[in-house]
Amino acid sequence: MKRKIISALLCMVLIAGITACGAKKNDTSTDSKTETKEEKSDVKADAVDQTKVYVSPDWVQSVIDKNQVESENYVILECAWGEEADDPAYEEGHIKGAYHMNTDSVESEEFWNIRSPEEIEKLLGEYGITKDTTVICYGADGANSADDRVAFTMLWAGVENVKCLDGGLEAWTKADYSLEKGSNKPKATKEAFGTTVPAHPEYISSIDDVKAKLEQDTNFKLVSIRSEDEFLGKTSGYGYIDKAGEPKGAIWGHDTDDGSYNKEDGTTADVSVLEGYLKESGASLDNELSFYCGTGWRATIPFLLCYENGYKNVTLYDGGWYQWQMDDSLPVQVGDPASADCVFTTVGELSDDKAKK
Amino acid sequence: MTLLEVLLLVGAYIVQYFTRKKMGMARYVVYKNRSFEEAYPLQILKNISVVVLAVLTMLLLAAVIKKWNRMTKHQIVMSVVMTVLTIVSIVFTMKNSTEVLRAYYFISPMIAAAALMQILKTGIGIFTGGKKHEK
Repeated sequence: MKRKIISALLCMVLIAGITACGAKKNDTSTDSKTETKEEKSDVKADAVDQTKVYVSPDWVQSVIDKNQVESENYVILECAWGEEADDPAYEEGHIKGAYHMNTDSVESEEFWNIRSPEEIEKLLGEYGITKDTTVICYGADGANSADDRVAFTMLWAGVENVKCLDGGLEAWTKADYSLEKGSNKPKATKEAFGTTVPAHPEYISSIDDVKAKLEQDTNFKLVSIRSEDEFLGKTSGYGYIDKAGEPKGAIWGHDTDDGSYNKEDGTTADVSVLEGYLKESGASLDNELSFYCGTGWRATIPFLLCYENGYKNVTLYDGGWYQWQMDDSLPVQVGDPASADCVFTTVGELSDDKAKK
Repeated sequence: MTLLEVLLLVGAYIVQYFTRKKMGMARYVVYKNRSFEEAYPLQILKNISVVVLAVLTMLLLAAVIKKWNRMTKHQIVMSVVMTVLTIVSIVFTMKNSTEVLRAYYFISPMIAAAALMQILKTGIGIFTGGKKHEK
């Protein structure tokens, strides 16, 4: 009898727990902020161009220390998937003043593409960001592309000065700069964003753009920023994508997750590395390039590399393999396109058992 | 409650927990939500499940009231648990959606299944169970 009552109570607690997990938690920023190191910082670093994306920890600290032009108006975003309360990285310690940015805030569930201009503009306002705000994004480490994804969204929207902490939080702690704990809540701005969102729609290629260019434009190269196994169609790379392959005509630009775009110290490689990968497939930075991956994270890294080096002939194909494989009629390649074994078929003919286990 | 019912509820909690904590799980759930919405008339199924659970529970409660003097403590407790689970299942199903809880299409059927199992057990218990021992 007692056991039955206890098990009934246990079930009620579990159900309450499920419901509580789903409800938005009201964050109360009452945690006291504590810095892991008490120190007065006065770091000075060389100024960087507005279009420079990947910046050093020294530069970011010099912004915080009010030694840069950008110090007047900046926001630091700790970029990761998930709510702040579920982000152990933010809780364990973040750069002083950083706000948590859940990548779901910039992506919609339909194709995990960047949200509508109205949603992004509203989000920017909630974070106190106008086109004149310097936005500094960072992720866990140099290979992590959450911050690049958010940074790309900022640039697309129209923020004029967007940075990514090169090497991520890993580089920050290696540089021995301090972290703080506690939660920072963004202060919304009443100011208008300052330009129409998106200011740069040309940064994104839609699936229709890509389909048309693959058929008609020999100068156009669709560059897969995925692992070799994904490119060869051995796996989709994702637990929620059943089919594997690549859009027909795609070339391989190597993966970012495996460090192919990082130096040994974890910072971002030079654009010459990308150039080398393109050369493997007979392409170059002179081609019109559109980078893609599964859902648009990894592909932002070569885009940003090109952006900061002044290349204007590059876009992000946001829909990636995820959106491509939703249309049974679209042409695909399975295998190395340079080899005779490559199979050219359509999405509808692909097997459904290639989801990542 | 049986182990299976507890496992269903624990399973529902686990799905929700990992949907919040792991991006891969969250995206998998979103992908499955889309598949479910395309394959099944979910609104109709939701309404049917709510009605079925409510009607069965009320019928059994009517039987409990009718047989009150012959109910054992065990049968009464089962009836209470059944009622609680049914109410929780119905309220959860009606008040939530995939917008509130991404894993809603997973959790709601699990809780409903646990409630249904409890209804069946209670029904069997009431109609085949022993009589109250009189002092």
